[in-house]
Amino acid sequence: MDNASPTGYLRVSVTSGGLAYPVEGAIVMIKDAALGASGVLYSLRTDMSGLTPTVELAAKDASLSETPGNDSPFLLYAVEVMKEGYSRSLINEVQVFEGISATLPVNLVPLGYGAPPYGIGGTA
Amino acid sequence: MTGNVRYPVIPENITVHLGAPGSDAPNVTVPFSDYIKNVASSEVYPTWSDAALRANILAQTSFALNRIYTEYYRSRGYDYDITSSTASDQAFIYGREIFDNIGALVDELFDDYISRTGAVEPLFAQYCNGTTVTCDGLSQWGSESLAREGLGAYDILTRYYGSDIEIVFDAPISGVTESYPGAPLRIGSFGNAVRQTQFRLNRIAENYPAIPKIKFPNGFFDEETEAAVKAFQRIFSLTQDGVVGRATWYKILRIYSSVKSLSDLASEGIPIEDVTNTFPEVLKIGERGSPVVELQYLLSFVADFVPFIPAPAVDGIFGEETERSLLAFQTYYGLEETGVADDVVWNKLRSVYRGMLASSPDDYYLANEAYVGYPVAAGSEGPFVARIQRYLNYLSNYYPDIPRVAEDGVFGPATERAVKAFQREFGIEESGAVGALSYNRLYGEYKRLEALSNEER
Repeated sequence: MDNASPTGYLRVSVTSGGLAYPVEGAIVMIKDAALGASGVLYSLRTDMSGLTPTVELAAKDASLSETPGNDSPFLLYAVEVMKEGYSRSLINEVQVFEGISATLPVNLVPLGYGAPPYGIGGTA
Repeated sequence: MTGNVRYPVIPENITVHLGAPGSDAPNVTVPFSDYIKNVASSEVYPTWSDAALRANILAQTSFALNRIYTEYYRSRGYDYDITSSTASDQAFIYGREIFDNIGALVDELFDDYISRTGAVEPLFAQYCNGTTVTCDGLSQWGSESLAREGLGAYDILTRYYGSDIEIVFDAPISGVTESYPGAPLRIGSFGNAVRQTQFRLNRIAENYPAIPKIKFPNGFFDEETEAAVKAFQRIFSLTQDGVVGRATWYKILRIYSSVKSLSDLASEGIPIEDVTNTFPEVLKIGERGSPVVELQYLLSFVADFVPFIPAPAVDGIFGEETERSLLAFQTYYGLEETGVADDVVWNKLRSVYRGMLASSPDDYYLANEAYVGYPVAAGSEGPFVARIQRYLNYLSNYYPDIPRVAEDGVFGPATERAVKAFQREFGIEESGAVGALSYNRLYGEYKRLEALSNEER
């Protein structure tokens, strides 16, 4: 990515029980929404505060948002979050604007016993 | 003066119907400021001017508060405050990303709203995009172009809503007893507000260990306190200045209450014993009693994790509120939506409850002090029974009517007598069984007495 191309910023915050506690060690994949499963741009892991690092993503020129009637002024991404023992979460249509930082809050619901655990095998 | 004027309050939470009014769609209950952040992120572009963003956020907040204040949907028999339909209300996309600049503005503005001069009611602040849709209200694109001309948020609002409006600042916030002290707390500040902040940060740090503990929470804002505040601000997307201003103050309160509400409901780490359930009763609307308390307790615990499930009051009365909560539970977990708690519901509820306890971090709940998730009675055995016996014996030192029992983990006739004596003492139905209600009273009293005796030492 050269310096001239517009970029925006995203971090993901993974918690459970509302904001009651952070989920450490969740796998967060950021994908190009247009490419789907093959378009994984980042594979991240949450820290002890449930946060991924802030990543840079391609965006569109911010001037598109200055007046009505233009193309949409953002690029779209999909984010998938997985952690053993919790429901898996897929968030489509995450918008990235030039020069703007965003936080995606993801609230994971713990699975009960007997529910099929979402395996992320081999990623101990 | 006669008559009661009902002043608007900023609610802790808002319930949003994720579809058009009356449509078959789920409801979700979220904190009010999170709702506004979501609406603002969905309705306008984060790249717009600060004044335009402020004007739009004030309009969105007023619109939502008007819906709540006038009970627009509730008075029509719906169980939500607002919908996510842009034709009827404002855009809300559950689970979406929040732009940091918008989030920061909402943290500052969420308890401010517009009203007509001399009126109490939050303004029904209609707005539309101003290009494809026009209306008698604010134009979103127009607000941006006025901001580019140099108008401030208030002047933008008066262009659309007339000059007879005013901004109500710092409206009372429901459920918050500790209002912002009025001036920012920073290095060198001291007093009770600092001490409370230190205490809350230390409690939050138990769940968020990246926040360093403050060793001496003595009411003096020292460098350690500043470090804890900065770590807190980093995690919760606030400006990392180490100063407790309004936004940080209310965010600390909110996270503290979020952290506490769950641990008040239960504690962690119970080994799962294979105990027969004492009352797998079929419960439906209209019933009362301790099995209903049990049901409500488990539902409200699960509701803390699943925002699609509303938490019922734990009052032992199976009314419409409990039925709604149960229906939402059945929907969420793919069970038949009967509104009746049968074996299938009880099993799922207990399994989910125990799974939620087990998935929490080890130090999250006070180790091994949780309600086990099902009632125990004569015939039950195991470590949970032993704990109950220990608490009963502790109480018997203070309540001579409660007989002492052997702490052997076997729920026999002596334990049942002690449980009944405890229930009599505390005005609980004398069932002789320990369910959620009895357990919480017993454990609560045990902790209270223990804290008292520690203070005396």
